[in-house]
Amino acid sequence: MIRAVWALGFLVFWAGIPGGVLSQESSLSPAAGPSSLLAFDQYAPIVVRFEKETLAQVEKLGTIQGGQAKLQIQIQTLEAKVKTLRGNSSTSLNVFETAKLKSCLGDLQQKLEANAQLEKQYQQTRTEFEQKALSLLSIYNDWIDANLASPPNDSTVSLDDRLNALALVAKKRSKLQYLLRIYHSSDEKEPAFNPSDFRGLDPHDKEGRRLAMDLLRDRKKTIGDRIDRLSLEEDEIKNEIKLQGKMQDFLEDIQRMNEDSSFPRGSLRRNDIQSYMGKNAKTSLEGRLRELEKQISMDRQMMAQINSSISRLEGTEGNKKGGRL
Amino acid sequence: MISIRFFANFIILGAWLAVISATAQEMNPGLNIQGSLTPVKAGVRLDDNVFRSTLTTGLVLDQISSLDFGGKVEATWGDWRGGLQYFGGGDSYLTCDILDNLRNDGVASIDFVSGNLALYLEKEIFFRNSHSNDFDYTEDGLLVGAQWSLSSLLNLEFKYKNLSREYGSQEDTVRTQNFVDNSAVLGIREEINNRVTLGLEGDYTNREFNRNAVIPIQGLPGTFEDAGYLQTDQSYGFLLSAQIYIESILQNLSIQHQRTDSNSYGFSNLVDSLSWAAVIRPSKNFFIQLFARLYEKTYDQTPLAIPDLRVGFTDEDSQDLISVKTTWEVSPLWSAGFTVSRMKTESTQPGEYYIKNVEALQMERKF
Repeated sequence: MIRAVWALGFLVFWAGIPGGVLSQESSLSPAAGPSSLLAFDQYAPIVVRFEKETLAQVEKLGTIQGGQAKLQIQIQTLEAKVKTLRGNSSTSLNVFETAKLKSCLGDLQQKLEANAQLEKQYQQTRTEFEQKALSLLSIYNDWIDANLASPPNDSTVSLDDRLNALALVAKKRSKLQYLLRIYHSSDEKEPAFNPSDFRGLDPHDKEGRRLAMDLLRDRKKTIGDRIDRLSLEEDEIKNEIKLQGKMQDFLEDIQRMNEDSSFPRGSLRRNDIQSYMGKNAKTSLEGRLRELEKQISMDRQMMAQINSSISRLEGTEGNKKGGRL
Repeated sequence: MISIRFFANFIILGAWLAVISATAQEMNPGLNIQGSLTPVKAGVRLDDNVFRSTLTTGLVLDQISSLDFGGKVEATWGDWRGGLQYFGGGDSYLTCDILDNLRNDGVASIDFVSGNLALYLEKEIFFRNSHSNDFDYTEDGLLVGAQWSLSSLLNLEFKYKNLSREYGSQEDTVRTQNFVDNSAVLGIREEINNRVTLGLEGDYTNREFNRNAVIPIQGLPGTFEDAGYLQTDQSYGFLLSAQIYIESILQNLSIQHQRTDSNSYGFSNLVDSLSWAAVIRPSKNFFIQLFARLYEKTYDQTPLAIPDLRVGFTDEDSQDLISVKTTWEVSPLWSAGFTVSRMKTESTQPGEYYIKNVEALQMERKF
């Protein structure tokens, strides 16, 4: 049942992609089969919607930019005409020249107003695009996290399918980041981006593999650092629990010293509050320790999966090079 | 003789734990019952002032061998938990055998824990047997308490305890030391962060002795008479404690203030004490434990010089005390400890103190 839901979600996701920014993934048959069921199901509907909307905005931005470019040429032409006509103003303009100048100025004003309108529309669309693209980027990141966090021994998904999907999403993410860079910079010195670049993304190409490898290495470092940090915290908590036990023993020894020294022993304070309250503090630490152990175990699983993926990618690269040789 | 009784108790305890656990599990599979032995501690110590002499010329040094052991059975059933515990122990003095003593402690408890509320009831019987009248007595205690976790970091606790002590000797001078305590404690504990925990407790104790109060005779300074009613001491106190874990060192700091009002002449007093404890772990299996206490007690009037009316209840703690213990965990089950302590404590003579130096070596076996 769960597999069926995953399969449905996955197909819905990829079926929606042709209409989206990162479209035309139907050609990615190795990654799109039911065997590559990853944690897409929960992301699928929203990814489809965001990709469609982001693509629509990119195309709209392109259209606006095209319109602005045409207008710019027309404006420049009109400005040149006006300049030429005014250049002759040392001698008085005749009636025809005056009428022509007025006509040019009128056209120029219209073009400038149209250009200002387009600029306003462009800014508005760009803002909307940024919001959508950032959300989509966040979804991709979540997907990558979920994919890397999924159990390494999940028999329903082969490692190759995982890597293909990872490479594909890494490429999508990279393209999206590129788009964001283009439309975020106000000076727009980045080379123009053609939305058609998104079409026909292939997870098997060199770029996809490189991006996936970068992603895996980056994630490996992050998780390695986190494991080190959590392990240190785990050691400290274990040490504190141990020391608490020693402290408790020692304080009991001190209390018992009365008996050992032939004193009558204490009545009210013996064991009571310390044991119940102390028990509580110890329980709190033990709870935190259990959480840490669980997190470290998950991170180690993730690390094992990443190492396995890196080995597979390196092996694939080696085979390709070997094959070329 | 003491060794034989210890050994017999230990064997009986082990068999009892095994039989109870196995039988109960078979009878009710939904009931989880576990039995275990508490660590056995065997040791030897040197005490340079076993008779608590206030004079340096009266010091008597003795070597004491000791053994402590115990076991418990705990049963859990849903939100309920019940437990039976037994602790045994004893001291054998090499030369001053009048001070030899045996301890037998039995505790039955039942807890109910639901959500953030815990209720508990505990009944305890403690026997101490000795040839010395002062240390031959029985205690009977009942503890009722409730703990409420206001959040994961904040806990509130209330408890009430009734405790009576009855000495074995029927001599009047000893029977006058019998007493009944009714005490209540309200405590709050907050984990400030994962390094610091603070606790504050307020307590009240009403102690009624098995003797009449003594009051001054009007118009005749320095003379006293029987008041015709039982001596009752009422104590109010608070204890502020902090547990701090910084730089891999665990520290415990306590500040205590207690006021005692007595209806008998010479017993009203004020106590302030400050204690500090720390545990350091220089290496994986080696621990150093430190304890120091400063204690200040002030009487409203100079107490009467009647030792039998003061020993055994005026002080329940050693007063000024410094103690250093080193523990070496030889293996996960075995550990050895060596302790050096020096304490200065109020004697039965008004204004006099005695000092003890104790060196103790102890081996512990866990189960």
